[in-house]
Amino acid sequence: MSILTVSGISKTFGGLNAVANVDLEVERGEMHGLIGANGAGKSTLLHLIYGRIRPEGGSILFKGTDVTLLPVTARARMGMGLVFQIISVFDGLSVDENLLLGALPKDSTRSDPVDQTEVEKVIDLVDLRAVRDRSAGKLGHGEKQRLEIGMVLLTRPALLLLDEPTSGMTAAESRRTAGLLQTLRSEGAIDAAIVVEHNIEFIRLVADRVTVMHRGSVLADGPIGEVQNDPAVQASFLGRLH
Amino acid sequence: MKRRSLILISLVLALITSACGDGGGAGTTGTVTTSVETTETTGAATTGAETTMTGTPSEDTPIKIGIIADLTGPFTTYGNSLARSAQLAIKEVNEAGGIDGRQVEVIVEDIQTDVAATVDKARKLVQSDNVDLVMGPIGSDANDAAYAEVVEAGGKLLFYTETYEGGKCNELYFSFGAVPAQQVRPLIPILQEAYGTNAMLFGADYVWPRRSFEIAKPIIDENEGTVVSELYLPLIAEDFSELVQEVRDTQPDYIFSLYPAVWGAALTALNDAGLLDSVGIGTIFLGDPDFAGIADLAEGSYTALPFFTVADAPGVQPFLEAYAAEFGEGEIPSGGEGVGAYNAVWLYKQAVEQAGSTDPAAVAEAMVGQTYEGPTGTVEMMPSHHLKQTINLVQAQDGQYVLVDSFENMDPEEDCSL
Amino acid sequence: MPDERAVTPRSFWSSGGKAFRNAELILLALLVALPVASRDAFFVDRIGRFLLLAVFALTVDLIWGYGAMFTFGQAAFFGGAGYAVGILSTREAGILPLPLGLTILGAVAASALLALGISYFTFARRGGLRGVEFAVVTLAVSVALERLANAGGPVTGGQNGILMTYRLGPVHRGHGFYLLAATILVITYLGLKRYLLSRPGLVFRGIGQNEERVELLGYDVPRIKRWTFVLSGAIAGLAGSLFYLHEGIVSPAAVGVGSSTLVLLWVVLGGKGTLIGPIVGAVALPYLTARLSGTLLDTWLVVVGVILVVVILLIPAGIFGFLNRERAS
Repeated sequence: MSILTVSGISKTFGGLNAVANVDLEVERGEMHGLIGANGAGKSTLLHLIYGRIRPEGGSILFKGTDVTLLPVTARARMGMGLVFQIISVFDGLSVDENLLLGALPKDSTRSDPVDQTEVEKVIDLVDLRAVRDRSAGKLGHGEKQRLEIGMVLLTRPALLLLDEPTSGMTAAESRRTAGLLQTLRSEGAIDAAIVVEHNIEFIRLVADRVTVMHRGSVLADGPIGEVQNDPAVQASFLGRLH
Repeated sequence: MKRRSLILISLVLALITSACGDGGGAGTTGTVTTSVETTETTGAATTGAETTMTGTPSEDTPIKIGIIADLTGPFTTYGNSLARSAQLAIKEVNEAGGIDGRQVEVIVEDIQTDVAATVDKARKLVQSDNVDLVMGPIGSDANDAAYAEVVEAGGKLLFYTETYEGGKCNELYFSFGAVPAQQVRPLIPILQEAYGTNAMLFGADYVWPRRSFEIAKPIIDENEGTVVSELYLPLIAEDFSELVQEVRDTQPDYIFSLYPAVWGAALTALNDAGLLDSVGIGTIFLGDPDFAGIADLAEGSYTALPFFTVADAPGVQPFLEAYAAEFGEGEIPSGGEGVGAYNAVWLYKQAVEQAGSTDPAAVAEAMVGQTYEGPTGTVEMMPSHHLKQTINLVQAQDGQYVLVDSFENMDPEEDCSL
Repeated sequence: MPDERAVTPRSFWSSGGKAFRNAELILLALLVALPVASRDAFFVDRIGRFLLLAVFALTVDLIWGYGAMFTFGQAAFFGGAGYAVGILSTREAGILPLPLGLTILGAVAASALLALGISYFTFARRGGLRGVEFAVVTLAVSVALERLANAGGPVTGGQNGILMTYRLGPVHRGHGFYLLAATILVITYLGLKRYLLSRPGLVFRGIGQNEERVELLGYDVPRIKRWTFVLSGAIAGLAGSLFYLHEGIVSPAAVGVGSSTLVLLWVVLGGKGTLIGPIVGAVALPYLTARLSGTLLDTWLVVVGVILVVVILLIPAGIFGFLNRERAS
């Protein structure tokens, strides 16, 4: 059962085809990688998916609903959770408060109590219990990322969107992040996810399927093992990267 | 961080407290002036031989005059003129033995060309300093505020010395500046003779120009003139195209202007449109200091005000000399409030001595009918509580004001029956 | 119980906790001591005025210090309420003039409605205005209102403004007025503190630090900003009504850019985002100005200017800036 179906989506910027007639499908429980060189269109595609920009053509179905024109906040409420490329948390608030903002009801007409056990569970999953009272601004880069992931997880996203999670990280840090995602997945904290990345090693560790983009179009799509061996992919992208 | 803040807080507090003791009734004392030379009054100068009136409180307690003047902000020129002229007069009064043997203490407060500050300072003078008289302010809006505080709420005398629209009528309120009728009566015939009978009334959009024009219209009528246009623009306008268009459309012989704030900008607009040479100008606000700044543009204009440095009454030069001696070479008072304040102090002295007390109501009663030989000539406080005085009329010629004529004993013509 | 813990926003008090409490206590002590210690009705009355200015400053601190909504137009609500009171209580037309209580209510409602209008025009729309653009709109509102006040003829009294006819009864002057002002200040302070420590307050503070993140978590950011802005306008309106009734006169400067900028100065000087700081700034600076402009007649403007510059240079975060641990980079 698809959680996200992107069909024929297109976006041009000043005459340039940033994204041209792209199809993408993400199943429930699937970790889907989105890779490609700079300028391939993966960022643009991500922005289209979560609603920061509007497409010129095509459609996006999320949980069966057409969200093509829905604003960002509405999609977030429906269950899209974005983790920014540049770590975005609340520096002046404590770790606890950051997580709380993830967990609080977004539609404030509902006054559901916050499920504190869930907050406690997440804080352990992202291993930040020891620093829960510390200002987020004082955390290290990796800690901040874990905080952001934890915060977004508390919104109970049906689809997690990770925008270049390893940017600015060392190889060791990337491995740790990959480990975190794997753990979160096995704990059932992550359902479906799209991971936009440059780092192939990382994608290999976390993704089931992968979509390769090149100059705005989909070059290949499938399990990473298959895609890797696709000669076209190798020739145009994978070969160059390594 | 915290320590630094504490140090700074202490610094600020220290400054506040050092600025003047506690916030109590002692308030500001002494003659605080802006002068170069000190004008400390010597209480010891009081001669015990002075005859005292019956019922006067102790000779040693000074009479307090509070001055609310704009010493900062757009009205600084006028505020300084007011404060300094008053202080000069007070100094002279003290040197002559004070009022009824009592020295005069002056308290000056800067009202910063701000209505809120005017309210605050007026209240301070009345409630905290318990002055016997308040002099000032300058602006009409501040005047309204001061009036409410000093006269209505405070029950004290308010002496207003600025050119204004007239119309205020209260037992405890006295005006010493020029009011429209005084200035317009002599001005209109001269403008008509110089330029023609078609008048354009141009003013800033507030009460002083509006009321002045209401008073001017019948006078223009009496002189068989015609008002071809009446235009109001915001006090500080940036765009004068409406003025230019109006002048083009109605082709007045002269513009009677009450546009004090940015008159230079208005003249520039007319000049740029090539209209300045073909239309005469008459104003009732462009005193010496203001004129100096726009002398080229104001070439040829006529202005009617109580005081100019070129006025030829015998008291003018001595007044200017004393002013310069006190406040610096080259310092001059402005066209209305300066000599108004000076006259006011001397008239007050006379009224207090006649009344035998500083009680506001008694002084008010004694004020009416007081005459004084001021720097520009005889002045007389009318029953309407406005001042009959000399109006001088000048014309700008070659960058200087030249005296055209002096009109003595001009009646303020205010309707105020008390 | 666990829920309680999570709701106590630690960072609001954490490192600044004790200092905050101490500052609060000192201020409260001063607030109570002043009218008791001083018999001088004028002095007490004057401070009372400044306490209402402090409420005004608090509303700015709320939306700017915590919500990052920099505004050049808060005087529109404070001074605007003064005008509303003036118009509703002195003009004669139809049901006007209204009795005192209704004029104050009307003024508060007018301020709130104005805030609502501005918010719909700015950040409540799709692709709403933020940051600099919002500030520019508030600046434009300030300028427009001042012009309107000047040109309002018999309705607004033009350049001379409106003289109030109502007095506040026994609380119009001196110790009575001080009590009124102090009460409004304390209630406002406690109320705002309560709000900021609550969940909606936490979300609002998040918006102030990272608006996009809050949006992407699914919150209706424009709605939250709108209501907080309206709240700030209403409170400023209440303080403004009482302030100008006490003043006895309201004139165009009350709604202008000058007034709006001055309150920003108090907030900056005291330390934005601390609640305590703006209160201190709003009392200290006007008081300093009032005293020095009566004593250092020649030089007070320079002296005050120098003090401001020195303070801002030495402590850019404001005198009480250290209380604010939430200063995001």
